[in-house]
Amino acid sequence: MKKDGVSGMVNSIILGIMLLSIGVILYLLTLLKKRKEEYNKSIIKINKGKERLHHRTKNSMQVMIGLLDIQALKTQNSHYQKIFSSHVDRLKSMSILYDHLYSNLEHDTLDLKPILQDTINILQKSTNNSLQSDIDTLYLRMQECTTMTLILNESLSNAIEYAYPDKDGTIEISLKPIDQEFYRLLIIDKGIGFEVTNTPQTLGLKLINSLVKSLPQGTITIQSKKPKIGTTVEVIFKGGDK
Amino acid sequence: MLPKNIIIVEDEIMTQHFLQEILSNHSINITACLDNAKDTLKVFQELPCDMILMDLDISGSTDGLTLARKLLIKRKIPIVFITAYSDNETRQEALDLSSYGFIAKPFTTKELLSTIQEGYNRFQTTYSKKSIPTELLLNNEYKFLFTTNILYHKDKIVPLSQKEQKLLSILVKNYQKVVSSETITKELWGDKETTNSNLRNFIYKLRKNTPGLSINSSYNSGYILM
Repeated sequence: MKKDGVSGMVNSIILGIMLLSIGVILYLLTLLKKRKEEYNKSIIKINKGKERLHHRTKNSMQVMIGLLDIQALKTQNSHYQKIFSSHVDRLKSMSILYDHLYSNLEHDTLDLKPILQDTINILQKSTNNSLQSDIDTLYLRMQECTTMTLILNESLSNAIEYAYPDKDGTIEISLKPIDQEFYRLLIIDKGIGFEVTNTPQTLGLKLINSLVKSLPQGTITIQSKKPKIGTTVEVIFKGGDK
Repeated sequence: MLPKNIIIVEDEIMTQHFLQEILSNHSINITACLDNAKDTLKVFQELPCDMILMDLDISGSTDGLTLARKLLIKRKIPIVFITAYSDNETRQEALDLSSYGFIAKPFTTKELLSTIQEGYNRFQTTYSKKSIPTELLLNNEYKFLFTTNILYHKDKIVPLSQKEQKLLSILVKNYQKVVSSETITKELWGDKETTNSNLRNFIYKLRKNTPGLSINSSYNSGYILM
């Protein structure tokens, strides 16, 4: 009788503990579920916001390009028209870059090859010169990708504008590794060339120089001579860890 | 060749402005510039239009793709889509619906014009085997649009029944040439038995609705639009 009483008490204590722990577990589970729902909701919110921001960015770039194009249309001065259209090209190349960055947001590095290829394709549309490219895959951080794209845009635009004033020619673009660490970007034309030391630097050239300085161990060499041996722009930089 | 008349559907004011500025500078007539589906559906059939330039993201509850679907039911027309979303799914969905052009924002004047031109040429070669002009000025007051079979009187639509529109389109296509009564009867009523007086009544009604147009009968053998 006494024994039964003790074991009955033990039993009910165990039962009590079990019920209590089930309760606690259930409570924790609902809490977890609620947290998960909140988390999912905020993820959806973030994604929607991301998309809206993307949309706005594209539209703002459109407005800028539109305004420059309208101004180019309104002015009769071909010098100003050239300036406007080079700004349009810069914006266009930034928008390509932006697209690639946007679709690779979750990665630390991204492939430079398709970005440069797209930039070349866009410039090819506005010139009769033949742009021939041979570009290797190279994963770089966003910042370096941005710099490289702008360097390519500036130097290629220069070649397109100045190299062949009389008849169309070929411009070669290549990006290849030199060794385990370093890479070389080459833009080569066989056009009229220019006196590197005596020519006042254009906005494009100034930009290229400062952009190259921001690359890891970046250096630039421009070889060109008048007349007619063409121009070679060589950019060497450390291409990150392979 | 660039289209003559374009309707723009775009809800960004600045882009609207850019499109109008650039296109009108290339002698393209902007017959309407709207920002939503409801208004577009309202004016689409009433305005001369050879191409639609449409942003996929427009004001109101109906999106661009749905609007395009509705417009294409009304009539075959080349639609060039504009979008700030350049992902492949959106592009594919739009091109499946109308394959006459897709422009991703931000775009330049060059890209805009070449896409419009290419799309319009492709549409022309697909839908007009012979190069039929899209409209014909009948005299100082009347203009006939082949794509819609609509007659305009001083830029206002002349309300005609479908059969009257069809009759007029036969006469316009054979402008200044006699079309035999048999040909007209067959085109309008098919092989159903009809009498010549039926056709005469019909012509009489059409003449009444179009004062100033000279639809003449030619020795009882047929009719001619002069």
